[in-house]
Amino acid sequence: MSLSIPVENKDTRGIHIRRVVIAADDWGWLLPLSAVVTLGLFVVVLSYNASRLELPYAYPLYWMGLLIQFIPIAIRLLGKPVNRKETIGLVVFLGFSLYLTKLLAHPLGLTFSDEFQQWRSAYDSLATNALFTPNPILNVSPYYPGLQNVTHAVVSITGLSIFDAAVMIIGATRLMFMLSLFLFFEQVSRSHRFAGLATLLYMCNPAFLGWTSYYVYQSLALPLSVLGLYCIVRLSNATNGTRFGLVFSTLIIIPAVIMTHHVTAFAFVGLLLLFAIVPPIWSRMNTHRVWYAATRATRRVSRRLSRWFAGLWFLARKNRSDHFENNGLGWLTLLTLIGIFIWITYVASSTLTYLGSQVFEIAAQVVGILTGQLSRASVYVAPDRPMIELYAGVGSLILLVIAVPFGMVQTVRRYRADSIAISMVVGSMGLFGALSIRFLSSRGGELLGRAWPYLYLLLAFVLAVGLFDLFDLKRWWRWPVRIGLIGFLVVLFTGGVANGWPPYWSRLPGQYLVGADERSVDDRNIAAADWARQNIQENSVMATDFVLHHILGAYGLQAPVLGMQSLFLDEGFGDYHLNLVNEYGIEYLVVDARMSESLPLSGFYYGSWENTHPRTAPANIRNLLKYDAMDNVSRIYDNGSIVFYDVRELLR
Amino acid sequence: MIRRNLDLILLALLTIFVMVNALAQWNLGPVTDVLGSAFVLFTPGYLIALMIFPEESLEFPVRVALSIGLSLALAAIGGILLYASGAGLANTSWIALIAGINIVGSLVVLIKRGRPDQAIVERYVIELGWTMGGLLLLIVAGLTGIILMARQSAYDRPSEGFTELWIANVDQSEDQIQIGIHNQEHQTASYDVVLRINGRYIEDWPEIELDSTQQWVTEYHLPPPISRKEIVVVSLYQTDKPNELYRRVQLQRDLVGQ
Repeated sequence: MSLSIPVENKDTRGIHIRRVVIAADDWGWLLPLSAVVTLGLFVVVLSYNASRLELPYAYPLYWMGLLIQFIPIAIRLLGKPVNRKETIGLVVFLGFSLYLTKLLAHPLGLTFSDEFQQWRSAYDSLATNALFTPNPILNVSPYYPGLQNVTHAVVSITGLSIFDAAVMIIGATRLMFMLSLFLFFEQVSRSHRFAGLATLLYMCNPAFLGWTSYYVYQSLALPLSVLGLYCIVRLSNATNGTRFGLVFSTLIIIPAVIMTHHVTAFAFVGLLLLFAIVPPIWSRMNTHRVWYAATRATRRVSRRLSRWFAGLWFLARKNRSDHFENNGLGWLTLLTLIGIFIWITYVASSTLTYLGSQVFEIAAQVVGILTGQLSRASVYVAPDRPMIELYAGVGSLILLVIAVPFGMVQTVRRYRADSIAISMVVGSMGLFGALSIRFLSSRGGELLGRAWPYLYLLLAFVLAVGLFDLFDLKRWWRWPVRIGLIGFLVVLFTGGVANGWPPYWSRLPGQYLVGADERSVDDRNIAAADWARQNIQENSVMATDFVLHHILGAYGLQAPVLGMQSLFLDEGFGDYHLNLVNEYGIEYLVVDARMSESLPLSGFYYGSWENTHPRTAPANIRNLLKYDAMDNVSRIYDNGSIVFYDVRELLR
Repeated sequence: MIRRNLDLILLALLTIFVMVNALAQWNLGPVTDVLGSAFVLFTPGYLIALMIFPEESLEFPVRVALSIGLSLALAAIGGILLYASGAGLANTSWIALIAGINIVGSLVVLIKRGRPDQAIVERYVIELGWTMGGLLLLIVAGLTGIILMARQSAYDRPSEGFTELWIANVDQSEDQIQIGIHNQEHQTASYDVVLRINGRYIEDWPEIELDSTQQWVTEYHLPPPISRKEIVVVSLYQTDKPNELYRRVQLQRDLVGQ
């Protein structure tokens, strides 16, 4: 196989032009495998068509399409050594194809609730040519205007709609994301084979197919932060020639991350802290006394474990070097922390209340369970899903719990002198903390869902190192192990999709479903929002359900409030309800009568807090439409499903 | 000279196209979409990367990642700068900002490339055989076809038609109302509209025929009130089902003090 052939020619002015010829051989299996991935995407799109027609084979067809995309690339990357160009091409093409997998489910408009929140912020900035316009459906969003600014620039210059601009932006971001992931992993591992496998493993994270493909601020901030990490890691052993460029790039990327997404900024600085703090601590702890104590302590449990610890002791003691302890990331970490502090203090102070309330709720539930004041059943409701997805989801978590410690040990063995790799090993232990919270809090699933993209930056690397050593076994059982590893990757990938968002009931497009987030967005509620935009004063206060809350807040340009379920679900309308209307200044009530047809698939009609008390019967239609017969209430709009009530008379 | 700086020449042409396009307000459809997006999402980062890195250290994947990443970061930060500067986030401000970066960047890179120690420029030449070239074309055509198919399928999705009916006071007046119908049945439909006050027949609009997506809106002056509280009800019937109420809206008129 020939590699690139640099051919230097001298032109007439004495300038060297290096022709880098990428010969046909360099492509390896890239194009044939890309054709197979394209075929997989085609099968996925067929499954979407079948799902819209409610054909029974849509669901298995979808999974078949996903696996046709994933398995050939996994086999290729785990097989014979693949050259760097082909490796990059394969992971980038697969990453992009998985983005199209999400996009083509709903190729004509936004459907996810968080996307509507971002749409509103982008719309407001386009309408006013200004920033920080209050967003009634996500208060904190305007104070992180990175994505809005990029959208504003693209829409202003091209004239595209916000949705089309979003497709362009997230598509470009996905390309940059895949390249940055590969380059980051390659920089840490110094091997393109490890980097390729780690990037493939990253695609198994439950947030990859959905969360990082949506038009949400995380989809921009996360890839930027990975590019920043690549620059920072490369900076720690850069030559003078590239040092300026890397520092300059990092200094542009860090503020962009800070002003684009709060959680990503925190995760980014968390990773920098990890890279800056772990090496010196590791070096100080890495004394004969500590290891001797650990080896003695483990001897009480098992002699074998003790011998294993003694082996690790031998290896870990070898990693002492000045460079290990001082990788020069302290100042960047400090700079990022100061940047976040300034941004939150002077611009986005609402971040603390927005994130703080969620953190306190989770902490209270965890403490409640640990102290026995709460039962686990009261905070954790297992999601209802098909058996096959249950097995894949649980199986992937079990495999992670088993494989990550193995990968950690292998990483310590192989990269014992590398401060970043050792830091990633330490950070990988966060998996166990995150999983504990998942099962100890009703918001744990949401928290873990948000944590996966950051946690997997560490896990993917550690797992890749662990897998690779197994893959290069020379004995007769090499092939069974290889097949087992492919199986491992398949379970991890399918489990990631099963555990991630969107859940099975909204993964494929189709007819309207009650309380099903993306599957609840249809022509009727979009028509209602369009009507509201044209006929009701902008930012009128409305009470409605979770789905319409987002659609009316975005396309309707209204100011809906959440948490008003008693106005709709209670049998009568008394003083309590009247006070509620007046306290929040509610001008309109919007009812989707289809809520009476079935239980909500997400578990709630009005908000996720309903999940802890699962419903046993659908909403009562008489309660929903009780305002028909009420004094001082006008029924002003009806499209057969959605009804608007004007309750402004009640405010007098 | 031209061969060496082909990338800068292309970027200059792109910048000029975007500026002229904005001034002349052309609508060239996908050409504007693609070139305009590249102008925002690729060019500033590409030039900044060329400015701050030695060119030989920018291998192809790093160059692409930095070009997109730095462009996105610059647009994110640029919006704040434009807003803070008072220029606002208008179309012209964005073009001035990005074109400014492109012009300054191109000049710096041009000067840098003139220096003898920076005189190595990489040119990528991709050699594909007929088979691989054909396969590449097949993949591109396949992806385009898949995207078009998915969009068409989403357009043609089976969905139940519906009709919107609404009522509103005109200019806050209690006497003048607006009644509207919007046909979203995916076919031509015929409607009868009946207006009643406190159950009393007032007016009707028979056989209103609307094409798919067509609207019918009328304003009506209500008769003087005869009671303190009146309920104005508008009922919508499909012409072929005159006895089956299809939609209903109502307004309450509280006439205390009038």
